[in-house]
Amino acid sequence: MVVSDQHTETADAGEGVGPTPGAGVAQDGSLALGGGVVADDGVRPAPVVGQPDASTRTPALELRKVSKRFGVAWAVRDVSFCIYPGEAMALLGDNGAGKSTVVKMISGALSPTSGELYVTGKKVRFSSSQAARRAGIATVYQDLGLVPTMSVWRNFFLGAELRTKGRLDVRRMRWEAEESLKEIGLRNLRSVDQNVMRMSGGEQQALSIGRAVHFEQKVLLLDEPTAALSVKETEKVFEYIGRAKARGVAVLVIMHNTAQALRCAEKVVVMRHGRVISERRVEGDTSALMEAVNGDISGVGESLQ
Amino acid sequence: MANSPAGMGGLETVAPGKGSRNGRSPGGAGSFRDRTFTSYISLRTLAVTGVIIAVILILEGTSGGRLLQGVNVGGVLDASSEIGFIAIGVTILMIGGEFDLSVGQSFVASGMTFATIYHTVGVVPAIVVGLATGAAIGFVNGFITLSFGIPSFITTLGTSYVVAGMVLLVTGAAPISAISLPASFHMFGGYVFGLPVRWEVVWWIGLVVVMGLVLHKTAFGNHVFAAGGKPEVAKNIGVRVVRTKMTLFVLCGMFAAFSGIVLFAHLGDIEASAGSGLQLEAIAAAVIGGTALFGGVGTVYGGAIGSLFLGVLTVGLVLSGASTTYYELFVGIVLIGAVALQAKVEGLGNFTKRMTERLRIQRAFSGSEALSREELYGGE
Repeated sequence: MVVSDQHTETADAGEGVGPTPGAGVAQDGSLALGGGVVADDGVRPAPVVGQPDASTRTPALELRKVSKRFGVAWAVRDVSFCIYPGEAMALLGDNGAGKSTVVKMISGALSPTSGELYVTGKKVRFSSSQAARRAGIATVYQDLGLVPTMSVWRNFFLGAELRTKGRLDVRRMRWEAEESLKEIGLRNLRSVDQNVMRMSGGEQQALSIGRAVHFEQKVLLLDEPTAALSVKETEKVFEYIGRAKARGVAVLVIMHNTAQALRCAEKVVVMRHGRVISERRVEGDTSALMEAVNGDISGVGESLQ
Repeated sequence: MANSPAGMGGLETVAPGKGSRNGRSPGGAGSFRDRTFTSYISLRTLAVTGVIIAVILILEGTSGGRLLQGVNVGGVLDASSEIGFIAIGVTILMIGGEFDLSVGQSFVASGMTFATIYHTVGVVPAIVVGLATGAAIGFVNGFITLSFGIPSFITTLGTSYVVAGMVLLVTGAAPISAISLPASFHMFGGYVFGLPVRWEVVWWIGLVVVMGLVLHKTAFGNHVFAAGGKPEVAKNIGVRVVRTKMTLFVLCGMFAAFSGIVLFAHLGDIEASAGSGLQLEAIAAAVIGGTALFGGVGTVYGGAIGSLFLGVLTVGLVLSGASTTYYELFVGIVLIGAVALQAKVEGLGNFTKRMTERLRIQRAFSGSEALSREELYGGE
């Protein structure tokens, strides 16, 4: 990753960028603000339009006019948004709206054709998913985060094993994994020695989320975390997300289901045809909001784009 | 029932009864004890151990009670250790998700290199050069496999022919024999303090223990399991998959080389055909001992038990006066039996089985009566 030397306030947050009218709702102070969100001097990005108190906070993740072109087709065009520590944002959109391309750019699997990414105010460019991980972005893919043939604690510490005198500190790793999973809300796990293969989908989500929180990742990227889960397990995943937020992690959730998105996120961004077409705060009457968001997703009632 | 221990193979098996003890109770930090030995020796390995004991008893009968005599027990261990050295390397390589079909040729090439040079350069330098020969073959295997993305099955099949050809070219198919064995060869082929057990057996057991610790108690070992279990995930998380696999290829070649050196030190002669079939025997030993063919699951101890089974069969059948055809017959049956057991109990080759198991777990933990469509069809 490349960290830019200095990022001064620019005018590029002006017209045409991301937020549509109605998006610039003030941050309500009730959001859990994790510790250690102090911006480094000089590297604080320009305040986004309509964020009155943004000058006191640095977004954990910010995208500015990010675009991605495949051949002649623009999969993603001028996407901008930001997520603050302790906040969850849901990215919604129909199939082909460009959500997964955005996810891949944030997680380092693809690099943007143009535009910039900032992690805690520092400009970053990822050459690989490992680089993104090192920069503090934990991506929880449905199928790409865990080794099914390995135990819970071995997965938890894979690539970051604790050692004493060259040998694995098994006792400490098992204990820390167990504690972290309890803390994230996974209380009924039979044993941290069991294979991940034998865990339910929700438990696997807990493991991935708990691991990201434990290793103090700044941004948690969840790609359709509830797609394969029962109602009950979906509730649990919301609990895990809530606890991650309480620890100051910024969460980006990619979803299909508007109702679920409104339940776990403070902010909802809708994409269509590769562009962000609306950005809304979740507050007040959610049923009206849901209708509006669903309208944005389907494009019904819009004259043209 | 959800934590039915039956058939949970592999490294992370939870001991029977352990699951229910820790259960779903909140359980304090210290509620988990250190794992028992069944965590390391899978239940499948224990089952295979049972089969071996049965085979020993049968052969003890057919050999007229001679199999368990001291001398013959020593013979069993000798035979086991020769394939056992190779099986260590093959097992860890298979856990890492790769194959080596050239171990028989590494065995011969290294043994012959050692046999050719030990009286001019000295025994210890000759051992080093012999091991380096095996390491070089392993390195070539790894390099070709990993940089061209060729399945190691194919790469090592190719290198096995190449090395076999080179050995024939150099030796002209003539065996190499020692006129007299130097005293230092005693460290492999000599008897341990007057017991009917040779030092090579001690070396074998020592290396099994050491490699077992490396595999289960170090970060490197953790990465081996990850690289074999799901390489994309391992890479994504920051494990150096290529480096890990390369190390395994080199180690595998070195273990085969060590076996070749030990064989020469023990017998005093070696010929080009000595290594034929060893690669399949080593894979058989690994698989009988519970190593998964597709990587990510297995134990060094399992590979050792598989080797012991082959040793028991070799000596037991000879003592019973049976033809060597029976050896291959038995190996074949047990090999298929072991893999069938693996498919059956782990449900790894059996999707339906896996799903029902998972649903039972979900039901047990969520307490829900009905299961949704998503639970039935999603998430796999």
